Amino acid sequence: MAAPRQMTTHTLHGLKGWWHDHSLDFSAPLSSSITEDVHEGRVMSLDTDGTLKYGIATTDMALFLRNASYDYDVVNDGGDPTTDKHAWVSGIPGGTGVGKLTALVATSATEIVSTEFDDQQDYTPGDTLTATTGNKGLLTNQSAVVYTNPVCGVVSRGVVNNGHGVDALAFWPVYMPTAS
Amino acid sequence: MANIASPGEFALKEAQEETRLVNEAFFEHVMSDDPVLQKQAADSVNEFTRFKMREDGFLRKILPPLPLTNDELDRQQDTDRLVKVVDYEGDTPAAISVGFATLPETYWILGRRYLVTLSRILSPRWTGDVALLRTWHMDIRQVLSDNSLKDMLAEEDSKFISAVNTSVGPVDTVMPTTGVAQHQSFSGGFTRDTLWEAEKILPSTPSSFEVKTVLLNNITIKDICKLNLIEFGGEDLAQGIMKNGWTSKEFMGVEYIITIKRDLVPNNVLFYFADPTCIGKHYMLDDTTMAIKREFFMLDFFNYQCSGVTIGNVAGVAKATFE
Repeated sequence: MAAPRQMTTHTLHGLKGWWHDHSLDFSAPLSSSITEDVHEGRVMSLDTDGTLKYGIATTDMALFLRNASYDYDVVNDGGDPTTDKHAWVSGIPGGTGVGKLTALVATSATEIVSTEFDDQQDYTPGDTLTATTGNKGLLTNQSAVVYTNPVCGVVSRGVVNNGHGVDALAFWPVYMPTAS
Repeated sequence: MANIASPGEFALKEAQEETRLVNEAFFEHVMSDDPVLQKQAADSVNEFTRFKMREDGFLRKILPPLPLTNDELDRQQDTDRLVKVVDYEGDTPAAISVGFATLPETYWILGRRYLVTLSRILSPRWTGDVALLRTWHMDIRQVLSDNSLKDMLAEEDSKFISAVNTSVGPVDTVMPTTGVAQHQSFSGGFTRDTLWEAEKILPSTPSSFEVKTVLLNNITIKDICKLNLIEFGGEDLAQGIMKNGWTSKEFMGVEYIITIKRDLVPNNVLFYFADPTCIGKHYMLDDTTMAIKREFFMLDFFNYQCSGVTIGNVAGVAKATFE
């Protein structure tokens, strides 16, 4: 049996600039090509269908997830009634693929702290950050060269406590695309 | 000769005067610095909005919302999201007749449960300069409310129908829970025979639920109106329909709910629902509430609610497509 999940393990908070009345955030459903759980804090972007895919490329706008794909205000998965006997079907919020996840937008005036970063690297203030499809939207300072790679953040305070005893990376989100 | 208003004109002038007074009172309250008066303005819109939600939404007629309080929510270890755990009625094997000197088989006491999880529904946010609302002749509450109401109802009803379509499965496909095709097609259009055949779907499952409610759209009902005298079973109904159009709330012993949302309930489709207790749960933690904010001369408002709907028993819904 897997160890129980704690709600403080995968988090994304706005250290500064969020939440207020007119915060910039965005809601969209997850891409149907993603079937595994996606944690709060992962970096996503919109595909051509307007659904969320992992990471950023070229001119993608980075979207930092404020909830996880398995949160109960996003999905209540009762199984597939066409294959599972006794499945239940959620109307609100909906089953898999129906609910929308909410994300903070890279151009928002915020300082964010996220647990979803590559913890094998060292981070210093001023490091630029990216997140790719290949690393499933984990923030990293590797291959995050301005004007060469798409950059979605700049490290502010470095690795800090997320307020619940878990390491998290503090950064300012930015939008710095590349031409190709 | 004095210009005397007709009864209709008089009623209209009275209604307009009442609307003007309502609008004036609303503006005074919204523009006031007194939070009590501002709340009264919001409350009057809320009352209006909730009335319209009851009247215009079909989810709330098929599966009326049950109020939920904080202490009725079920805490979870791994999330602070809002969850209500609901027990199913237990299945029991059949009793048997046996000879003497034996005892019954033993079954472990166990039950199934399902989850209703809650989320928020938000209408779009509307903003504007209060000065530009002063010349509205319509009831200002209706202006504010209707703008967001349609969006709230569209979301509620849309998500419910999406869940119903998932529950009944593809057309003419047997579903594992019931062993019955819960979405069936009937050729030959609307006849006495096809309508009664369709009404057999729900009671044909092992749960044997009778139909309580039928949902169809305002175009489909007109095709049903074409049933002939014999099919209607006599002059009363046939003549009444030709004279007055469809006026019945009930037909074939069940309640007929007619919706104009043809994008959700297509033509030639009927949805069948059992009693709400046999379908699932619709919980309402925060009923539809309008948030109104005034800052200087700018007015800002949107509707929100916190609710959850789960079709816990897919055997409680069925669908018929008439070709």
